[in-house]
Formats: sequence, structure tokens, C-alpha cells
Amino acid sequence: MIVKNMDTIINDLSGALKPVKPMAHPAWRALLWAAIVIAYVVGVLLWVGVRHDVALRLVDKQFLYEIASVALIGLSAACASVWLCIPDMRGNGWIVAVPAALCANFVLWMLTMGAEDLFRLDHTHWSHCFEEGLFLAGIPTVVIVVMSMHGSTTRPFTMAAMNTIAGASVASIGLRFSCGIDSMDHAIFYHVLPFVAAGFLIGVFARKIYKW
Amino acid sequence: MGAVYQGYEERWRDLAIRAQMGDRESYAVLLKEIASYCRSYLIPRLANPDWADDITQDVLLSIHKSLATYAPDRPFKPWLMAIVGFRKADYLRKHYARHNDRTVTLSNEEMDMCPSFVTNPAYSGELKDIEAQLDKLPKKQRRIFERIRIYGYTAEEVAREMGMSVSAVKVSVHRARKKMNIVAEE
Repeated sequence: MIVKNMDTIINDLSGALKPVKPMAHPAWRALLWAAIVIAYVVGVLLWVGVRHDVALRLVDKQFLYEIASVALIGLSAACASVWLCIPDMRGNGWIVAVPAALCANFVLWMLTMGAEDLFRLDHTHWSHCFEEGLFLAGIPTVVIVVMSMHGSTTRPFTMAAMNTIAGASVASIGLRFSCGIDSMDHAIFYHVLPFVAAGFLIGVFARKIYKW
Repeated sequence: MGAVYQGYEERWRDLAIRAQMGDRESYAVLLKEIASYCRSYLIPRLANPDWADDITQDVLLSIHKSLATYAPDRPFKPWLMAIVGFRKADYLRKHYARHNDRTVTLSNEEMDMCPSFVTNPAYSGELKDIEAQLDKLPKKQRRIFERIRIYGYTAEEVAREMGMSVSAVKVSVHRARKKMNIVAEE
């Protein structure tokens, strides 16, 4: 009985076979995402407007370190996402450790820089950064999620985390160029925490989102 | 098992590449061989061998859906085993989440292995018949018969308990049995 069922399934699947194009190398897919995202962020910044002191900030080492760190986190998270699209990750399971380590380093750095301001209670007002952050993160996150859904991940929760980090990184970079507030507590509460919350939401539905 | 499937790596890789190009025959061969491999891989690793068929079917469907993610420049088996591991974990997670491990189903084969008077309602009447035959025996004779034939005491033990000789106990049991046979034949 069981053998007959298995044969039926094999016949059905082989009968329904259509030529498939092997998925492009993950590096190309990551580059494609990066190209789309850079064009999008530049477009949004031109539309929203960059901060008035951008020229000064671009020579500030702390600002440059922050931007470089977040860009690296975003790119590595996007790479991890597209590698995760392949069931065996092409044998490169270690790749998810890169954004995780960079993220941990960045969060520690932020906490060190803004620790004394974290316990202030004036972080409860609605900030324009929420709207701009949502706007900046929306399309990049949707693009990476759709790209991920086309793959076949065997690690949906890791995928959710990597997709969120990639989208949040883009938003974070965009917000640093559009928002004129440089304090770390503002960055933590308005530029990072909303994306952590969004990441938890994506994580809750990870199995459904990346089902295949 | 490893020895049996040694050399399949290259073969499966070729079959997968041909399947990606739309060769249905190669694909059917690939799926058949993978199904056989999966079952033999899964059976020793599962608490219930029946699950192996369900997981194998999931694996075949997953391979069909994700065929495009196989890169021809990569070995086939790591790709396959990642899918097998994922589907196995997924199946077990769902199985235990539904508390299926706390329910017992008896298949027809298992039912056949049970004594028929346990599973077949038609036999339940026989127990009543034996009870009825025992009721027809004199009280003392029934007690001796039950002690030896049902509870497993020896003739010496029963003789000591009843204050009888061993031979008298044996004769009593023999007569009781004969009487019961006669009643059963009636």
C-alpha cells in the first residue's frame, strides 16, 4: 500500500516536471539587493531631504564608524539571507555568525556611548523617525523577504532575523542621514528598537512566511 | 547503508542536473533512488518506522519545490541531507505538538498478534461458558480445580491446604476436568 503511494507520488512529480533554471549564485543575489537598496535609499533621501550638517558629519570619525558598521551589518545580513535560501547554504553555515557578531559589537558600542542617557523618560513621544524609518526599511525588507521566500530555507527563524537585520540596517543608515539628532539614546530608541520589535513579529510568523 | 549508496553522489548529481533541464525519466529515477535511500536512512533514526514513509514523501515534495536551489557545481548529498534533516525535524515537531506520541493506534497486523479472546468479541462468550461449567462443579472440587489449573498451585500445596492426600487431589482435578468436558460437549 505504502509502496504504491510512493510510486504514485514519484510518477506525479516526474510528470509535472518543467525545466528549471538553477538559482543564481547567492553573491549575485546579494549584490542585486544591495544595488536596489542603495538606489532606493538615495532616492528617499533626496525626497525627504538630508540633514543640514551632513558635510560636518562626513568628517566625523564616530559618525563614519557607525555608518560603516551598520553598512557591513546590513550587507552581511543580506548575504546570510540569500545563502540561507539554499537548504545546505552551499556548505557555508558560518556565514550567519558574521552579522550576528557585528551586530553584537555594534549594540555594545551603542550602549557604551549612550548608557548614561538610556534611563531618561523622555523617549515616549512620537518621532518623525518612526515614519521615516518605516519608509526607509519597508521596501528593502520586502525585497529581501520576497527574495528569501523564493528560496528554500531550512532555518526559518535565522532567516527572519537576517532579513530584519538587513532591512533595519538600511533604515538606520538612511535615518542617520536624514535625522539631525546624534545622541545615542535617540538612535537606540527611535532608530533601532522599532526594528527589533518588527523582527520579533517576523520571527513569530517565520515558519509561515518561509514555508515551502 | 553508506557502503550500499557509495558512488551514488555523482550519479544523483548528474540525474539532478538532467532533471533541472526537464528530463522526466532521469527525475523519476532520481526520486525513486532518493526515496529508497531516505527510508533506509530514516528508519533506524525514528521511534516509529511508519513515520519514515511520511517523511520520505515530504522530502520528495520538498525536492520538487526546491529543485532550482540545487547548484550543479555543488555536491548533491549535502543539499539532499539538509532537506531530509529539515523535513524530519519538521515532522517530529508537528507530531509531538499534536501530542500524537500520547495516543496509541493498533494496526490490523498488531491486532492479529493479540490473543483472539482479547480482541475478538465473538470469543467473549467462551469465558462465560467456562464460568458456567465451573459453577456446576461441587464447591470443594471447584476450589481444588481453580487452585491447580487457574492459580498454578502444585498438587502437594493444595493437598496440604485441603488436608487431603496428593493422589486424591490429582484424582479430583482429573474428574473435574472430565466433568467439564462432558458439560462442554453437551
